Amino acid sequence: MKRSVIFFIALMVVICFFVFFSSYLEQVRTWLNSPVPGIKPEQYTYRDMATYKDFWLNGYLGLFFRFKYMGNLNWLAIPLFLHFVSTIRKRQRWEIAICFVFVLSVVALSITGYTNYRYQATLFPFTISIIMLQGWDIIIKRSVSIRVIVFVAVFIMICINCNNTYLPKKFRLFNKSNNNVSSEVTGRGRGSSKLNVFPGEIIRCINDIKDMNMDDVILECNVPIVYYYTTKKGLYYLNKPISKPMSDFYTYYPKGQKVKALKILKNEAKVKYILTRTIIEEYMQSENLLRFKVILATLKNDCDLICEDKGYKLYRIKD
Amino acid sequence: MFSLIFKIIITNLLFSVSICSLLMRFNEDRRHSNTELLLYSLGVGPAFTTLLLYYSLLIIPHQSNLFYLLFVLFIYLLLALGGAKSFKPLYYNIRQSFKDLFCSINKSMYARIEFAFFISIIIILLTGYFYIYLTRLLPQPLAGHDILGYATMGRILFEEKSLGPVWNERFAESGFLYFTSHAPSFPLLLTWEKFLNSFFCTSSDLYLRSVSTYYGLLILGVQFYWTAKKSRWLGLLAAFALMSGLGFSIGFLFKHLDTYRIFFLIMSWIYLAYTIKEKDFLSVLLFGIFSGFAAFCHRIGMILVGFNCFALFLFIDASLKKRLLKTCFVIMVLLLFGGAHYILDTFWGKGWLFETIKLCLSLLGIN
Repeated sequence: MKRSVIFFIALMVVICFFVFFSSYLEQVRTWLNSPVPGIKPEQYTYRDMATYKDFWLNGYLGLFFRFKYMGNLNWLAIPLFLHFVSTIRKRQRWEIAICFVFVLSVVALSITGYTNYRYQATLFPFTISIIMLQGWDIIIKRSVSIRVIVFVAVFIMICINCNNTYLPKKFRLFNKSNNNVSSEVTGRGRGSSKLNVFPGEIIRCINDIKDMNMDDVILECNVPIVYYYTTKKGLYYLNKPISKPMSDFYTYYPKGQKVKALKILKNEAKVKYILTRTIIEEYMQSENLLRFKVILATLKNDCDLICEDKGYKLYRIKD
Repeated sequence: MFSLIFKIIITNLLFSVSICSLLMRFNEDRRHSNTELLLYSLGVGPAFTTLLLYYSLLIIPHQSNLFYLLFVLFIYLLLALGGAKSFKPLYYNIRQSFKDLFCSINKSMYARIEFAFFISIIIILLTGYFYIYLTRLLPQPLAGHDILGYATMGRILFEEKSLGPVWNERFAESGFLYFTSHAPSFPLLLTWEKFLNSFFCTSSDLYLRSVSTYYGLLILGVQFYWTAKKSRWLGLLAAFALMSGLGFSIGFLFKHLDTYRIFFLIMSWIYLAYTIKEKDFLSVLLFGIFSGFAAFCHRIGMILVGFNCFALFLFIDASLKKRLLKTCFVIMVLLLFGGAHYILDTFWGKGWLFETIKLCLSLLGIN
């Protein structure tokens, strides 16, 4: 078959695809922008996965399309992969093995680690290196002008990434969002790696507590600062209650037996203080769970806020 | 700061050089460059130290600080004795590498200017980075949720002198919830630091804080090593490209275990390629070792190195018997160098393996 015939057939297929796709364009657009049902609040609040589009691009395909964290260079892996596949017969066994492992790893990480950019970034250094090495092998055979064009294009892509990653918001050419290293350093970004999140005041307050006996505990919401920086004991409250006193507390409090419930909390569960965080309180408010409602009501009605620092709050249960 | 420098010299340099010298004895036919081996070994020292601590806490728990300190030092002394013959060649090799680097620019004026420009860029970037790192990033105390979880576990392991707390989800004494099922290589770095602290009578955790940057620099070094083989400017461009993404730069600048686990995963892939291409014993051994460490750092590593073993079996050019033998050997080394934790965890711990199998079955729709 002549090349022109193949080209014509391919062109017709592409046109048909676009005609078919365009008739459903509105439905597809609506579906892409509709919220994903059953998704956890933390995923749309902190991980940009509220809609189907974000869920797929930032989630399952995040290694290539989560531009905020991965930049735009990873995307080059797709055409280079297609080039690799088209020349697979000329490739050595070790190259095919690496490609095989890489593809399996991409799939595994997409399935198991799609919610967290840190897991997606697992392959990032390797992908960038492969892009550079394979890209070099392709352009080295071309003319000098093509090499220069490719180098400049890649350099521009890097500059765009750096613009988003390192420049403070006001100096950026575009992308005025708060997500970059600068905002992480100044603490205006999101995530646990911000620099000025160290709650020194809270730690000082906990260490200064004098009215706790050896058996008394601080009710805490998975905040390891209690255990790392202080010698006080803690009791984790975000999971289902594992002790009978806590279970009783959650049972009696909403039934109007508040005094009995608080007595159990203080005397049997040995809880004197509650340590929480603003984001955890927001999270508890968004979740429709009885134990979260009980904790929030206790914080509001039966506790005194004694210290607050960097989003952490230390409450003392009223006597 | 003095204790940090001492810890880095001991753990990251001396221990790594001891391992490298021993590995060089298996590299007698010079298939691998010694400089390359040294670069990779620089990451092995800390991980191997944690592995030694892991086994010693598992087999001989509840001993004194001095016992564990001497145990680790004794093993490294044996390694250094084993590789003693290689110290001299290694030294000459490094000297020759530097000579080659600087002699290669004596060709023309243009080459000299280009080299000076290139070196200036690297020096300016590294100086700027280290200034920010030492003045702003390193002094910040540990504050992130995950890193504090690992650090607390490291501290508890130091206090308990046994692996008991790793197997239990809740540590009864303090109420601390160890939320992960990763192997405890990263927490054990703090345990090791605490053992060294007991020698210095300090309570610093600066070494743990420096780990992410150290391994980030090693990743950049490995990437530069490979890309600079084509062109040193490509190496620089690749380094810029890597640092331009927020995903890596956060892992590099802030305190977490990401660069630590990614380094070993990358190394396992490099040695997968070497094993299939060269088929020599050192490649197979290092493939197993790096795969083991990748699993020992993080459970994602355990999943991904499983693919490595599968790929080795599929793609190595040998008879079926040899394929099986080599794959089994790699799996044995992998288990010995950290993978065994997940088997022990299945019986005594949180049963991560069963949980993973259950998850896979549920994804396939089988209950």
